[in-house]
Amino acid sequence: MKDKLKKIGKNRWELPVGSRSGDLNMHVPARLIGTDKIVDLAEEAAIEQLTNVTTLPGIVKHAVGMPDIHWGYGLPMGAVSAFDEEEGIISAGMTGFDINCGIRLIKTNLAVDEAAPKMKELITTLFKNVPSGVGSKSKLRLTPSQLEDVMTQGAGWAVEAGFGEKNDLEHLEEGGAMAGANPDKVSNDAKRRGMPQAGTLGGGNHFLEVQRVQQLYDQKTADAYGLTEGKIAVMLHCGSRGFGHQIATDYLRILDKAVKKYGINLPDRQLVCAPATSTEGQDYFAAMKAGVNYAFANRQVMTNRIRETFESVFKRSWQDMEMDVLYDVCHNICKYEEHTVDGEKRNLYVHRKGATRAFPPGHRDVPIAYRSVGQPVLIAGSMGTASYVLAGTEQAMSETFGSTCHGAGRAMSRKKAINSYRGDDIKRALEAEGKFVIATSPKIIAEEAPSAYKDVDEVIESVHGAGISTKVARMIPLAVAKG
Amino acid sequence: MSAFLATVLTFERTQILMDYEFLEITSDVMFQAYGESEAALFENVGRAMFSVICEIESVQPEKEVQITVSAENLEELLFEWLSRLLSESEIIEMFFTEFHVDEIQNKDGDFTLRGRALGEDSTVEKGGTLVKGVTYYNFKIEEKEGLLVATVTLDI
Repeated sequence: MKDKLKKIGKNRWELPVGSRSGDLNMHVPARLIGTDKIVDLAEEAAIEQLTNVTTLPGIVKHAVGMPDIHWGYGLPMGAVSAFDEEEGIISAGMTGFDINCGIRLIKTNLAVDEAAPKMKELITTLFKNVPSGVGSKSKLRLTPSQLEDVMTQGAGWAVEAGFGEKNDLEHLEEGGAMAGANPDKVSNDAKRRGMPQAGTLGGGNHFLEVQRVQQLYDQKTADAYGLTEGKIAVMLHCGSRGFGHQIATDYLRILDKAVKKYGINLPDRQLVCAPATSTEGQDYFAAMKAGVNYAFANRQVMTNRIRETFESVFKRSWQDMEMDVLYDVCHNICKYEEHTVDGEKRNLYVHRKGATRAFPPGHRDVPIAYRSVGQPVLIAGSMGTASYVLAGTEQAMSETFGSTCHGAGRAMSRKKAINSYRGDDIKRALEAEGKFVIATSPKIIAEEAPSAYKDVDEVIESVHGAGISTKVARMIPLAVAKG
Repeated sequence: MSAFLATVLTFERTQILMDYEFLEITSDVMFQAYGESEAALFENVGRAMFSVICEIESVQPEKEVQITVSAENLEELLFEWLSRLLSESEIIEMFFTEFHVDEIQNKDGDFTLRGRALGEDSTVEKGGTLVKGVTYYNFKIEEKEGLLVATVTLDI
């Protein structure tokens, strides 16, 4: 199918309607953002999965594949699709299991020279204080009533409970809580799974990384974001833990039945969905928001643990180290948003799976502090490679439903990575470059080997060149803790 | 015997002797598990999933958990069995190493499984890769030459 991709502009490609074989027709084209090199790397299976989405009812304009696209279950990672509020669908499968898996960046005023001598101690203490990996236990055990508040108030609950301060909330997507979450739509299993896990990192590709601001590309925007070359920052990547995973599992079953009830033809069963106007669709949306809010609270609790750790290692208060939250973005989410399509304002259900919102300057949902320059977009590289801070643009609004990429994107399966690399070798090689890695096991390090991912710089050039988000800063890892 | 035929026979024998094997997928984890009976298949699928989650060989069968799930067909029953094992292991914070399917009943299309999972309290030391959920992607049970074969994709 890749041979049918047509280059239609700088770093943008399109698969026209009719490119797909099989019983179900594409209602809209599929668009791919990427340099020639990125498109060469894109897997046939991922492109095919992207076209599957174009067959769903009520899809608007086009499905978008980001340069970090890769073959996953059902929907490729790195995909954005938007659906009409009346004719369209809401999909649990297309939002994914890790609801509001996302990234938060915490700044500091520590210079690299000041922090470097204590880097090993810092990452070891962070790894100890922020429960990481399968089998780790959180000190925080939510009571049923606390969990109810987490579901509706998100990061706001955490701040009220003493994990941070109100100012943090002004620098989070959605202010750290989506309105409309309904705890009654969340199963007891999800609640039981969520209660012991708040404040934990999880595993897989989740991480906590100490970084150095290596290079600024846009001084005005960097000033607005408070980024200074040579300073230390902390990037946190995690989601809604077992709470969100269980909500997704519960609604896979419910929406699987809804697919049959409403006669929706699916090209892949994992894309289970329900009409946006249906009870099943709205129930999922209300439960998903509870998952989103849990993830915001989770990252807020961990922010507090990170601050406390810095205080214990550097013997200064976190306020003195100016450890302010730069921003917090969501990767796996469905949002009800207003977009202009063919000159007409429409309310759409935008599904971002492994994609980041990238709203432009002036947008009402961008925090006031950043409104003149656009929403911060936080992009994680693979372990040991660069991460980026970008800014949202008008081009993203007009072309990709206000969205951009989310990371480097896997290029090699975990199975192949484990067979190809030894965790200890990677750890030693990174330490030789002055980058400390701490993980629950060498196998986890092998799974997440830098070479198992695409070149993050090429991914960023793709979105920057296409204009759907622009480079503000490049961040280099100094130490990473893997779950 | 030609070298080619010997290779084929060895391959087929390996397939039958193997309880499960992992397949290629760029993200996530996909595996096939095998069983000569429905119960054996379900037990092997459980083992395959927990070989991802924990160091299954070093986990001891110290505690037992009863699992009962029901569904409208055998494939759904497998989905429910796996999803239940996963949720239960996180809720009670245990790693499972042994799986026993005591009974699979089919009463006019209402399938019920009664089984047990054995393991110990979860610890980071014996932890593996976090499994987020069991997906419907390519999820199936097939019969191949008298052997039941399940294909499962996990989100990790």
